[in-house]
Amino acid sequence: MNDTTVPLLSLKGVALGYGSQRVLEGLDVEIARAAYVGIVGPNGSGKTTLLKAILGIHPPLAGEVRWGGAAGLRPHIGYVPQRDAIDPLFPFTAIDVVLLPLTALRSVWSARDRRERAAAIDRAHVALERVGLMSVARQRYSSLSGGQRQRILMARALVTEPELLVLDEPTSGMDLGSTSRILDLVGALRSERHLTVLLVSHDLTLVAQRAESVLLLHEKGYLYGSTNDVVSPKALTALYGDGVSVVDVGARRIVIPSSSTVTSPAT
Amino acid sequence: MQSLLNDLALFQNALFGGLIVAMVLGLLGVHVLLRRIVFVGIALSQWAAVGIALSFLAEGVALFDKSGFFGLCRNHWIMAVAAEMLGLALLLRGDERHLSRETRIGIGWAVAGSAAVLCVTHTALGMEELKNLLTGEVLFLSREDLVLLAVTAAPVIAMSIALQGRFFLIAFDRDLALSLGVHVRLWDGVFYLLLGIILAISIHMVGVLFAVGFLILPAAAALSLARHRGSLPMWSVGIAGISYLVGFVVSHPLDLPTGPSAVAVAGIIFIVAASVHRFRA
Repeated sequence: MNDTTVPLLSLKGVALGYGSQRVLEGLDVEIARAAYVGIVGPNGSGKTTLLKAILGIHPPLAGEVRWGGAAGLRPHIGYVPQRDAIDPLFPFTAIDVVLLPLTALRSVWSARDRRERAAAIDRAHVALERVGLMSVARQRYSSLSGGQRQRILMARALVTEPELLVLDEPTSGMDLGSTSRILDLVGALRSERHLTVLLVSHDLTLVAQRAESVLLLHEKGYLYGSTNDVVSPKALTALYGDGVSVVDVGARRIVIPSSSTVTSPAT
Repeated sequence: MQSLLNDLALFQNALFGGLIVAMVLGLLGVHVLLRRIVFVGIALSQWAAVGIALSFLAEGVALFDKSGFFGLCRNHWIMAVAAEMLGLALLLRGDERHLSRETRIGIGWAVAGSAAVLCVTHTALGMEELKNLLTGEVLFLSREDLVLLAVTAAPVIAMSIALQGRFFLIAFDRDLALSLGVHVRLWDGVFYLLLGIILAISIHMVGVLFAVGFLILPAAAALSLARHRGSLPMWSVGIAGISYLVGFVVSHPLDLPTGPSAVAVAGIIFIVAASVHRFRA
């Protein structure tokens, strides 16, 4: 049993970058279990580099990424990349894509075991049903709509029964309806499975409406805290000067560039 | 017909040897295309040709060598694999910001091609050996060649099938594989080693043209026809086998070289498959 008081993930004095070029330095962040954290920042602020450090793809230049799982082991991570990162050359069906991670979790020599294969297909079916796409299981992945492909990638993440769900710009380039459906699904999965969610985005408004905490990366460093504290007029003015305004609409917080003017349609 | 059957009995080594080479290349070719490393495959085959050319050269030197070193270097297959691994190390290492991988592959291909020509120019059979390196002579496969091929191909086939899931995962989403704790570098190394071994033996036995043709064409046709992951290798291996058999049979009455005939058949199948794909879309 995991100790729920221990953070799932701790970054201690982490420096990230490539070669001698450092993108982020002195990052001290703790992420609690079942937290919903938004990671935001402009292009080049280090969002993707941080994500890769958390996923174990790109080790930090300094500092430590510490996991609070049993015996300090890294928990299963469900990684949902940007859907456009997937090569359309592959003639894979939706269920082929969902099954892929399971090949990594089985031993090499059990790959042809029929019972294991049947169990894997069952798990893939459960994941596809959960994202509401069982009907397209045998369709070619590249022929699906953007929203469907993103949900297939979420099913692929769920099939490993992760404790942490990492989503990289899951709604970029999507229309409003698809964006809302994807983020509703993330919220529902988090509640059902007590998942910890890391949502990477460049959209402060979107993150402010969904995440409980925000890690805001910027050229001077970073800001980490509750969404209300980070996405606040005071904090954002300190960062961007008068460049942005924060407006509360009902229970929702919206960040808009100050230069935006609302114009009435010509009469 | 009787004449064809007689020839089949006479050239059964060529029939089975060529078939095995074609089908194994078809199996690995799928991963070469999906990883988008076709030019690495072509460059590797050129390096294997350099190794074989060096072994021809070593044959001459071995006559005057008392240490026995050049005797070892006469082994075509060992030299081909050694040259491939050297070429691969040069291709995959280096600073991307200085020279792109494509540039290094191009340099490697050109240098290896020239080196192969220069190595065999002054050997006993000279340009005849060069022609064999290029087009191969599958009809002259010996019983020993067939045994060597079977012993080499069996573990390559077994490992390719066992590791297929991992190879697909790494090619499809490298970051996902890394995030799942898959040792991507290790499996990449295993893949290149399997590819290197089978290319070395293919070029030694059937020539560069056949090896490159069967590495690319059946897999390209399979990509056009397969509807799901599981059927992709089956289509590729099947098309490779059929192409070789048809090429073998057709080349006989027309008095054409077997290797290029089989590659031409694979090319025709690819055109048909691409048309089917376009029609379906």
